[in-house]
Amino acid sequence: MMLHLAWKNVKFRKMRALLTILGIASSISLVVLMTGIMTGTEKSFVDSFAQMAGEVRIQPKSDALSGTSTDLVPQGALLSPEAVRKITDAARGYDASRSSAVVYQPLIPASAPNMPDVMVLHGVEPGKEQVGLRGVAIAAGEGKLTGERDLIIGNGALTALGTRDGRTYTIGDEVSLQDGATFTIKGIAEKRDTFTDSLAIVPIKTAQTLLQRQDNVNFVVLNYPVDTVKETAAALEEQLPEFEVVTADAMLESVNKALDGQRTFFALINGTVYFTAVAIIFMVMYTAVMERTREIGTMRAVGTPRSAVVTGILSEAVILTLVGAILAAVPGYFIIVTGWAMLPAGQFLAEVARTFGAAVLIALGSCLYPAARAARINPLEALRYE
Amino acid sequence: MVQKLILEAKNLKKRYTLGRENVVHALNGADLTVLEGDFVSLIGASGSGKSTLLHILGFMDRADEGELRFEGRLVTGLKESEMTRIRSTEVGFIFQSFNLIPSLSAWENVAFPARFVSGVSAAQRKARALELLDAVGLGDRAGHRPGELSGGQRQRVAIARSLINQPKILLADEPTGNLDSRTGAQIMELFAGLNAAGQTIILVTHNPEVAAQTQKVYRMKDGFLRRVTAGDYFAAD
Repeated sequence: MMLHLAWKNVKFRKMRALLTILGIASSISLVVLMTGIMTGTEKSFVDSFAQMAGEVRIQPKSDALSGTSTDLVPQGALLSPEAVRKITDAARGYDASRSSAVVYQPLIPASAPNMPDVMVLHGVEPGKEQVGLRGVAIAAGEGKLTGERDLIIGNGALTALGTRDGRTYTIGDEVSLQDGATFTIKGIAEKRDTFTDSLAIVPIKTAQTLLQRQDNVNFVVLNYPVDTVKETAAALEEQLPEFEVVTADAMLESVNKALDGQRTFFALINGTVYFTAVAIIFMVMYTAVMERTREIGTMRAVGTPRSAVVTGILSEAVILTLVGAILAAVPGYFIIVTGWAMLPAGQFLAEVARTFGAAVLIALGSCLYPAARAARINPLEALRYE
Repeated sequence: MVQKLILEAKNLKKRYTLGRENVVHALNGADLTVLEGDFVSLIGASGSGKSTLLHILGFMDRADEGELRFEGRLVTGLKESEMTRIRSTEVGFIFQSFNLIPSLSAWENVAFPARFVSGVSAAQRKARALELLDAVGLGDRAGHRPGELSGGQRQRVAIARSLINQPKILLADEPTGNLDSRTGAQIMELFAGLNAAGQTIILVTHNPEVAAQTQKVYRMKDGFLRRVTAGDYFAAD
């Protein structure tokens, strides 16, 4: 019953409603965006590591993991050819076609802390491109490195190079990766996640020359059936105590720890935004009650129960908040789902539903005092102005 | 035919404290009996206590002392929720400044008090509101908001609103106070018509000409109520 009156009030005071809705919409869009980015980033990591489920990476022991990369590759410490041989001799039962020594070097670093690098050079043995591709299909060209200057590149890395050089690259084009070293684009990987998006795969020898690493590599990737990875990794750790044996699960755990700071940061922003929303709604509804003292007094005088007055005020706040939330969800959808493709539509909508729930609770919570004040208005207030 | 007793007030007293020590005795022991079908006016100067009495009779305020009976039932000391229920179903109130809800149309304003009466559907509320608007001559203004109506039209809407729940008694506080004399006269004609149809009405006014159009006139002075005859209406307070 009072929902109808609340809706009428919102429509009647259009400017006030519009400004309130805009305030709420901007607050909620910020929350949706922050939550979407965080959830999308986490999902991207989880998806990426899921593709690596069968991988065991063996690398030098080092405390100095890369500061910019979430791939957690030791920087500065390399594996010599002898070390690689020792590893491959010790390992048993891996899929040789999907295992390779790898030269790894971020070339275009991440734009924000704890985010994946924009372009990462992977030098792999020719014929073992899948070690870098990790199951990603080739969208254009081919997925084989036949020449020493061949390059298979991810979508994001290609876009970044295009932006750097002010042109659009396609299959067969020559592109400089670093210090004028040019490569021919042989294949472009399909867009899947931020890791594979950043790929720049070249033959291992070329990478070693380009980065002046002689015959050394960063790590060795060995591929096992997924269900045997845990035991195999444990066995390799015993056999090769001088190396670090890393599985996808361990990497994900490290990434999760690294993301904790980011989560706290986003939670603080969201908290501030929620507080602002509470302040906006409280102020608007408190002012509305003060302005409408006579109107509410009249309602009470003609027999409106206190509970109905409370319902009316709460309904009005919920309407303003929900309209704001819907307005906020639309740009959020286009940014998170359509634009950055960080989340699938379903997961985004689930996040939006959660935000809507929080928004409604905030609307109700911030309105309790104005609503209680409205309910206490005496019917005689209707006559006080006469 | 014996008229049924609607309201009976005995020795009603009401005090207000203004500031720390200034006590105003708004009612000093007012007695009033209203029978079914009465058309009563309470006349008096500003501050004489007539509005205070009307608020108590309309269940918007409580007396400090005295007894109030509604249809024979003692209603002094009722709980707030019970007073609200009586205001909703038994009493119709008309204000000097109309007090319509600005965001609602004329018919929605009229139908509003019926929302809180159980067993009345939305369709029934609307039909009854439109019928009442027709009866007060505003059938063609049903969809207009108060801001789109003249003062006289707004007061007609307010009268229609006061009738929506078929109250036993109508209370009007200076209903012509904000209207020009011609429109005021039309509103008084409307009241006369309602009274002729059996509606009990109590009206507060400071205008003796308005009071002269009612059946029983009580003069309020210094918190006391005294019935007066035609010759006394214009006597100085």
